This record gives sequence, structure tokens and C-alpha cells, in this order.
Amino acid sequence: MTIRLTWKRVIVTLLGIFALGMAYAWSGLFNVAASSGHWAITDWFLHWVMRNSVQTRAAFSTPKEAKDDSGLVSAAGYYASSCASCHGAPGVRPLPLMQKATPPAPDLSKNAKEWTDRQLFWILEHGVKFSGMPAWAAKDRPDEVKRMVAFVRLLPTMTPEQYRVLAGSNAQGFGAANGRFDSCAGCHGSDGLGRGQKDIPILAGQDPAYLAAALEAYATGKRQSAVMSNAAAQLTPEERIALARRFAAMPGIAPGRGGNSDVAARRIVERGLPDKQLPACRSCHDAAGDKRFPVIDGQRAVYIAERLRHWRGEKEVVDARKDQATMPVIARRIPEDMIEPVARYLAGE
Amino acid sequence: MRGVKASCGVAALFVLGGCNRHQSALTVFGEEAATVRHLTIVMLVGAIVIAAGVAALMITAVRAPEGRLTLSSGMRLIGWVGGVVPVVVLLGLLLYSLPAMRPLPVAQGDLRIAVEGEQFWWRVQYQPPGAAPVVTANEIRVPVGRTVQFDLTAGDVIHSFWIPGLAGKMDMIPGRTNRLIVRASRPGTFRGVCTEFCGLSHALMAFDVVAMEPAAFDAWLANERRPAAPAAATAAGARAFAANGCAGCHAIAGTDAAGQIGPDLTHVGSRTSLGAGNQPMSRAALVRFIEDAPAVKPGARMPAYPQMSRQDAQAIAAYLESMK
Repeated sequence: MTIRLTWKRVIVTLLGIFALGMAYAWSGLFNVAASSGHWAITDWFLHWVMRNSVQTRAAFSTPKEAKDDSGLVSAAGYYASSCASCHGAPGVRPLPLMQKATPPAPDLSKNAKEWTDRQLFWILEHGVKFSGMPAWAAKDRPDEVKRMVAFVRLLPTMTPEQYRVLAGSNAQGFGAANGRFDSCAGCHGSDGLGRGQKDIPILAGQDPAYLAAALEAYATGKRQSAVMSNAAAQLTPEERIALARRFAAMPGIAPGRGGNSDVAARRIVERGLPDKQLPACRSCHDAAGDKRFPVIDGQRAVYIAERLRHWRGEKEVVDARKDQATMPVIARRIPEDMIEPVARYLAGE
Repeated sequence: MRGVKASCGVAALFVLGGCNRHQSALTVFGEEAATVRHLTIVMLVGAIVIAAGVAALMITAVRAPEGRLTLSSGMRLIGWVGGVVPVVVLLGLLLYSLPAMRPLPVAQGDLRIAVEGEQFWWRVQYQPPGAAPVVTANEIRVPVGRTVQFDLTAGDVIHSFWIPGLAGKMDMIPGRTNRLIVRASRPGTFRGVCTEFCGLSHALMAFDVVAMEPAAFDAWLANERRPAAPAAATAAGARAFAANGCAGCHAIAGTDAAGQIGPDLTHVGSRTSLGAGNQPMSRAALVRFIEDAPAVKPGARMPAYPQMSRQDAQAIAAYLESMK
């Protein structure tokens, strides 16, 4: 007996299959339990799809230089407080609870080797659907992601001792210290000097009102940083003010700590470039008298330059579409080649 | 046909919206503008007479019985009305209008006012003969009956300076100084505008023009020359002005503020409008401008100050408002 294929029959059959599928989903017979895991073939298929997706997308939408080795401390602190509970860390087991997820987070000391820098960057930036891997918690912060790529790259060879040194006080527990002074000190140092890291700003000696405002901006997402928003979001306004005061009271940056022999940079800092409508840095950032702006004398040059570049934004976007707040506008008027010299001059490096 | 008439009528209503006594080439208060208006009216009347004549000729030609018009009479008519008459009329008009192109005579002792167009405001410097210059911004005052020479230039892009009631337009071109000589004929408050597209806020780049009796003008200029005396109650505003770094761009005579990037604010409270003709001067408008200038004037070179406290903004506004 032969069955003749007609359009009607095909459509009815497809609709029937769809209805059966929906009925199965509606019945609740499908098991969504994480405890039962996947069938081997499902596991293989899901991972195969995920690998293909990461490989293809990483090739198109990640920076060519996807790794930055220069700021491992801030990456380690963030890893310790946000990643280690699922992935574990050198000398630290992941939480048994987190390993009961389906799929369980991979052990990066083995798994990181399977990916290129750009693929790691893509996974960190975007996360992975249906796996529990979240996306990066801040917009427009490729610099943070690059530092994390560098840190993850080192995990296969990192000793527990090296990890403890990098992550500082945050290595002790999974975010247990978050919101406390110890957690801040893990990266910023218990002296507020940033543990000698170029990308971590010095907090000691800063204006307390500015520090509290910065924490609030991180907590509300007005200032973007995955690392800092995770830390600040857990603080009450009172705690933010208390922490700001504690760091501000330490000896650190101060007016007069900057300066070097660069004449062109000094011109911009002290007098500005009126023909480029760039006011002097000193008209706001100067503690002679009562100013409403942060102290930048003696701050880290890399941090200052990074901030200025971030404010400038993409070259391809016209100014009118960019942020019109004070520093973004001013940063865009500093000639590109003067950003580094100005940052070094302010830092006194 | 009726639809066309109706839409012309509606369009004319919109045109009426342009009528006002502050910014109009028909409301003249200067000699050059008066000449231009006179010329415009003469030409308009002449154009109407000529158009009516052409229409009458056309009606005559169309209604003429067959055989009445010959080729040679037609050619003769075209020769006279299409050739000779226009030559005579245009030549007459040229001779009649040539004197209007001659600039007013200006003497060494006349007041000169240097105006520089910037995105999107006016840098103004009064240069009275034999005295030091006086710097201000976004407002022009002229003495009635005295000849004044404007030296016009631009700092960034091409602007154009037009006070419709006083004189014709004059372009402001970077690297070049254009002269415009005017003489106001009656006192009053008028308005000028930028008439060359210069960026996002081109349409918001205007200024008030005050024509004053000579004695009142001299008194005003003498006051303008002195630092303002802000009310003692605004000392907090002066401190907030310094603490927020306003002096990085703005100058206030008699204080440490000497920034040359933005408008001089020495007597800002005495100006009739804020933000280059953007809105009437008031405390609330000042607060809004201080807090977020780009929201009021898109593309303004002054950044927003989202971090500034409301108290600071209000104190600065009170301080500036008292700078008369």
C-alpha cells in the first residue's frame, strides 16, 4: 500500500507532531530537574552548539588584543568574590551546591586551555545561555574583561600561594567579605594605595564626598564597572559613607603630589588650551580653596589615562550623541597625543 | 482652484507668525535698514505695475480677433517691450539703488564694536576712541544718532551677523574681519540673529540689541567698565562659582575668574536674555542653564554638571543675577 504525499497530508502530519510536542510539554512529564543531569547525547549536542557559537562569534565581535596582563589584582579580587564559588580557584574548591547545577561550572584550571583569548573574552563578555554563566555586569568595559581573560589564562598554572597573593583578603571566602573594609582592601590595599597596581586608583587622601558619590554611582549603574558595582551594590548608604571616610582619612594622594618636567603637559594642566576651548585641569582639580572635585594629584597615570579615554568614547560617534557631562566633554577636547603626558604629569610619574 | 486659494491663505497665516516689532526688516531703527526698506517698497510697487502690464498685454493678445495680429507687429512689440523697456527700467533701477550700496562714512573718533561669532554665542568688545576696550557678550547696545562700526569675525566656523531692523546681514568668517557701519535712529529693544548655519544650536544663536540715547549709553558703558558689585547676600554663590571651577572658562572682572573660553559674565545680571537670546534672564533659567546647558542649547560648548548640588546651582544663579 502506498500513501500519496499531498500538501494537506503533510500539513496535517506536521500540525499533529507539533500538537503532540505541546501536549508533552503541557503535561509536565518532561523532567527539568538539575539533579538528573543530561543524557550523554544531549550533553554532547548542547556543548557542540555552544562551542560552535562561541568560535564563530568570537571571530567577529571581539577585540584583536583580548588579553591584558597588567592588572591581575583587580581581576583576581573579582574572580574570588564572584566566580570562585562556581568555578573554584587554585587551592579553593567550588561550593558543592554550585556543582549540583546542570551543567556544573567547569574547572577552569583544565577547561581554560580549550579556548583562545578571544573566545574567553566573548564568553566573559556575553555569558552562555542555559548554562548559568552570566554576562559581564557592566557595559563598555572591555578593559575589565581583558584583565579577567589574562587571569583565567593563568589559572591552569597558578599555585594556591600565587592566588592568595593576587586576590588578597578576598581569597578567603566567596564574597563573604563583600561590603566590608576587608573586601575593598583586597584590591585597594588596607592603606588605600591600591597595592601598587597601575589600574587601581589610590583612595587614600581622596575627597570623602567624591568617594561616597562614586560608590553610589557604581551601585546604581551610573558609573559602569562589573568589579565595583558588585562591591558597591551590597552597601547601604551609611556603609558607603563610612568606607569613603575611612579611606579618605588615610595619607595618600594630595595636592602638590603631581608634576614633572613635561612643559606641554604642564601647560594643559595649569592653563588649558583656550584655542581648543580646553580649560585648565587646575580650574577644578586643585585643593587650593574649597573645590568640589576629586584630587588627582599623585593618582595613578594608567588609571587617569584610562578614565580620560573612556570618557572620550568611540571616534566614530559624533560628539552630539555622546555624554554631555562635565568630564566627558572636557576629555574630548584634550588632544589625543596629550592624554598620556597629562596623566603622567598629574600622577607625578 | 478653490483648494489652491485656501492653502495659499493658510500658508500666508504662517508667514504672519514672523511679524513682530523686535526682529523685523520692516520695523527699522537704523539708516541702512531704512534705505533697504525704501528700496524694497519701490521695487515691489514697480514689480506689481510691470506684472499688471504684462498680464494686460497677454489678455489683449489672447482676446484679439483672428487676423488682427501680424508677425511684424508682434516682433516690433517684443523689440520694444521685451528689449528696450527692460534695459531702461533696469538701468534706472541700478542708478537709483547704487547710492544705497555706499557704506556710511565713518570717522576715527567713532565707536567700534568687535563681535566674534562662536558656537553658539557672541563675544563682544566695545572699543570707544581713546579708552580701554570693554568686554561683554551676547548683547549689543548702540547709541542713537552716532555712527558705529562693527568689526565682525568668527572663532570657529562661519556665522552671519544680522540685526534686521538696523542693517543688512554680514558674514563672520574665521581669519577675516568684515566691517559693518550702522547708525541707529531711534531707541528701543530689538533682536539680532545668526543667519549662517553654524551647528546644532544655530537657530538658538541670537542676541538682544538695545538702542539707547547717547547719554544713557555713555552711562551704561561707564558702568560696564567697572566690576559689578554683587549683593553681599550672594557671597555663598561667589564661593560656589570658584569651587565648581566656573573660572576655568568664564571671566568676572574684579575677581580671580579670568577664563577666556566662554562668555564674560561680569555684568551678566544686567543682560536682557540668557544663553545668547535663548531665554529671558531669570533665576530659574540661570539654574537650568548652569545645571545642564546642553539640554537647553544642544551642542553648547558648556558641559552639563550632573554632579553639582542644587544648592550650589541656586547660589551661583543668585550671584550671577545680582551682577548688574
